[in-house]
Amino acid sequence: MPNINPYLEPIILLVFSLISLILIPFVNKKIIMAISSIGIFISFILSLYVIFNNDKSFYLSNSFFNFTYYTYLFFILFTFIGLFSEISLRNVNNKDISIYYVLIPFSLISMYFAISSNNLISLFVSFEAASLTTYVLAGIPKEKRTLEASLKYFVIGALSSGIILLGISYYYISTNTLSLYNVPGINNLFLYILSLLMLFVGFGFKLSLFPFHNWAIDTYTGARATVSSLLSTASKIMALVIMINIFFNIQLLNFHGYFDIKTTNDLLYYIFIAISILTMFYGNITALMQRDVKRMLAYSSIANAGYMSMIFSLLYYLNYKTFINTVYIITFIFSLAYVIMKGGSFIAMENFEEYSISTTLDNLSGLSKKSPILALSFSILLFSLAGIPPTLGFMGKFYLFYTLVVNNLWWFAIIGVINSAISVYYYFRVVMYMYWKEPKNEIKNDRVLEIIILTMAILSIILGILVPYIFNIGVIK
Amino acid sequence: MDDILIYLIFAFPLLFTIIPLFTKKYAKLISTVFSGLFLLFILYIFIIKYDKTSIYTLFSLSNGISFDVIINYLTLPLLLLVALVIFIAISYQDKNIENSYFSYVFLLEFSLIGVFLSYNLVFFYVFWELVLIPAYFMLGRWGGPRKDYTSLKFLIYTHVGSVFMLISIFIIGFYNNSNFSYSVLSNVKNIPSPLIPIVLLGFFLAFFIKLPSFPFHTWAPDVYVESPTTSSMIFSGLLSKMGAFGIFGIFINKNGIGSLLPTWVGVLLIILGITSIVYSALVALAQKDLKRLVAYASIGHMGFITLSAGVFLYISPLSQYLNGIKLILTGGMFMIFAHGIIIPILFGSVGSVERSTGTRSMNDLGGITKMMPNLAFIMVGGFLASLGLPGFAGFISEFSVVIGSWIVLQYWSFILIFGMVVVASYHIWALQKTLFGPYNNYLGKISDMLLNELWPMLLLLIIAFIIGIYPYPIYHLFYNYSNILIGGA
Repeated sequence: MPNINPYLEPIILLVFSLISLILIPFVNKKIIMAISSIGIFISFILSLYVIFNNDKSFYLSNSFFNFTYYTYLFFILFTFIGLFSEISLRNVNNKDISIYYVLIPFSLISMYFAISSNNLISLFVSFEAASLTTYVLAGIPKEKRTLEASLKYFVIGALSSGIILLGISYYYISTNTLSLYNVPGINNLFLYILSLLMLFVGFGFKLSLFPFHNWAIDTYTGARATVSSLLSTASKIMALVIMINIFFNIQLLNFHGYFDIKTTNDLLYYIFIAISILTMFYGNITALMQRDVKRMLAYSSIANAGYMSMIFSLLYYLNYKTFINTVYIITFIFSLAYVIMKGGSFIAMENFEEYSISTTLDNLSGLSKKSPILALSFSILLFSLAGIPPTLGFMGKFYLFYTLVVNNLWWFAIIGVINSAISVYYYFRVVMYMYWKEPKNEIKNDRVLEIIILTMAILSIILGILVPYIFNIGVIK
Repeated sequence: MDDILIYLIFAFPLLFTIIPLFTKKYAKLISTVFSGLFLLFILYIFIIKYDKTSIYTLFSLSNGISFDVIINYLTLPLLLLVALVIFIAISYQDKNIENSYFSYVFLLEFSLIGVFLSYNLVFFYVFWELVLIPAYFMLGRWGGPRKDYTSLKFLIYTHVGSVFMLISIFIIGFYNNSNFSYSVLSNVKNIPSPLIPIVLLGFFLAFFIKLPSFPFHTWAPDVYVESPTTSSMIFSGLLSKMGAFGIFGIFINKNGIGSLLPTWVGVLLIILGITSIVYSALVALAQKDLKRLVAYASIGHMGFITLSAGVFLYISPLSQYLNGIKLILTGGMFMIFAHGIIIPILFGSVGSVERSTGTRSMNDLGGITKMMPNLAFIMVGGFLASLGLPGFAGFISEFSVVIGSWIVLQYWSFILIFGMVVVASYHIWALQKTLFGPYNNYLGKISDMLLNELWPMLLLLIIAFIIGIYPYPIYHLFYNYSNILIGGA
């Protein structure tokens, strides 16, 4: 089996970003962007190479990291959106902007390690590294608005890090290890459950689950749209994958008979489900009232976090070996859809920010007359977000809800479906403004952004049709 | 050879979707020609596949999710209806409309054919939802003054119905090894009993909202009224048929979901059906807007479909009424076809009145026969066909349903007859207020129906008349399908 060293990709990213860091004082920012984009592109291709040459059992492990098939699968998403958000932010006339192109590869490296960690120490370090770079990214380019977003993000991020650390220490006390996979036993069940709760809350901040979501709206709205496209997708999916890595190991413990989740802690189960339901409803219902499209997208990203966290309700179903694969694949399809549609939508917002036009519905009206391709592509991305077939967003929800029904959680799937129906209103309202309201002011458009968004739209349709074929997952058990 | 034809059924509309965008001012002409050729093509398929049942697999995506297509007694007439109504609507449309309108129409045609022909629940759902997108644009971009409100109302109403169907499809798929083919509908019995109400409710909501039946009908008048004329023809003539198709194709099939339905659902459907007929007739009496009146007429016709499904569910355990059951089922299904060709005439003539006089309000009209003799001919023909006059297609189905439902309704039939009398009276009343009587001089000099409006309507009227006196080609297919519905071969 042809394999590559799992550290090769981070090293490539590091080298390219260091080269661009060194070159900042000497060359034009376009060249720096090109260099770091090439680095990201190479690691994107390498991840694809690994995926196409291995099957789902691919596994490389040491005491800190598990590099699996799924690590590479998710890393494809990170590099994909990283690449596009780099290219999208090319028309800003600000000297500090060069650091943006250096920081994105750094954050991608950290995300790569964060999703492959099997040890809480390496997990925490790489998660913090990823977070720190994104705090800085949120403040780029330096404006009052973005700095506010960045500061909010940083303060909440610091709080969540504290909670995560507390959770890690409880975890250590209760299990005598920091490893996630080789747990010798649990000596204090109460502390163990408490630590899991702490970790859930800590990473839940990053995923912007309901009671911990407030930073997300201000940050996604305040930060530059391209930055939001990275923050709301890659960094969220990182948190989601970390949470799956952690929590589905309770499954493993259960599988080995260390403790019985069904009888000992229904509490966790109900908390997960309650938070998921609240997140969905909160995100969707508040999004109904937004007149600013970017803010609406921020709220809808909270609603999507709700859909993502539905996965945790599957914790209580056994049959570990095949099951964890299903969970990862479901998560991946949903994340793929999410990256393309949400990342693409935020990049579409960049088209307005670039010309300092606010992204209210009124400003978007008549977009189809001024730039039909942008309007069409953005509409397709919105259809995808609303879950209208045959787009990728439908397939993501299809497999997610189907897995829930299969596991006898049909009532939970119905709640998800109701939310999906609510969301149709605010997504289609944007389409309405774009297509049949008279334009109120001048709309310019950026060719490159148009092509990027068109690519995303085409991908969301083609992949939407081919997803069952690619993953051959007609049967989910 | 056969396979290629089936591929082409899907490939042509999809291809036509793109073409109008690249034609400058000839979009209408080219679209008319294409839809006409497509109609001939479908007619050819209708003839060679007549009275046959065949299933094709076009491609397979994964285990249990493959694009299967079925041509049978039910889908074949529907296929013909789609091609016919789209052709008529495009011919009727005047050419001063943006090119993209025709793209949306062809995309709608593509998705409708997908809905009717799919033999896989996942693809059925995908096409079912895909219909919403072109419909949303056709309504919203070219609609009337209240288009924003109406388009979102339409979208949310029908989308809510269909998402519940998705859950039902999931449950069916899960208990059949993740196989989503229609063929698994015959073993729905292995669904555990607590889940059965959810499965049934999902399908019920999806189909009866789309139909639209009585309590879920409120989106329909708004949508039909606010749409441009040709969109109204397509929405009332074809979109509502999705619900009818779902009812006869999936919901009441005794080999499938129908076997789970308790008898009281039959009673419920009978009540909903009769209420639809009577209620819509009474509401139509109060209308001042001619188009809204026609919209309620359309809802009333759909009541016959609900009624026939209800009567079937109620009496199907009693096998001694086999002929009556077949009669009422065939009548209900025949309504799909009859309504599909009659209601576009009504919307078309109302559209011509509106274009010519600038108003749809019946109080402002009157005596326009003098100025618009051709319109008067079409409109009288259409309205008489709509009220169920013998000699037109609508009569065949209404007669079959009323006769067939006597077994169940007995003297309660008088409510139904009362409703039909009201239907007839508001049709005549509307004709009298608009066409006859003294000419309203306030209207000034108005022009008659344009040629592009006249001949499609005339064609439909002739078809409605021919089918009214010689219904056999269509009736025979539906009659055969009723054998399948009652669980026979």
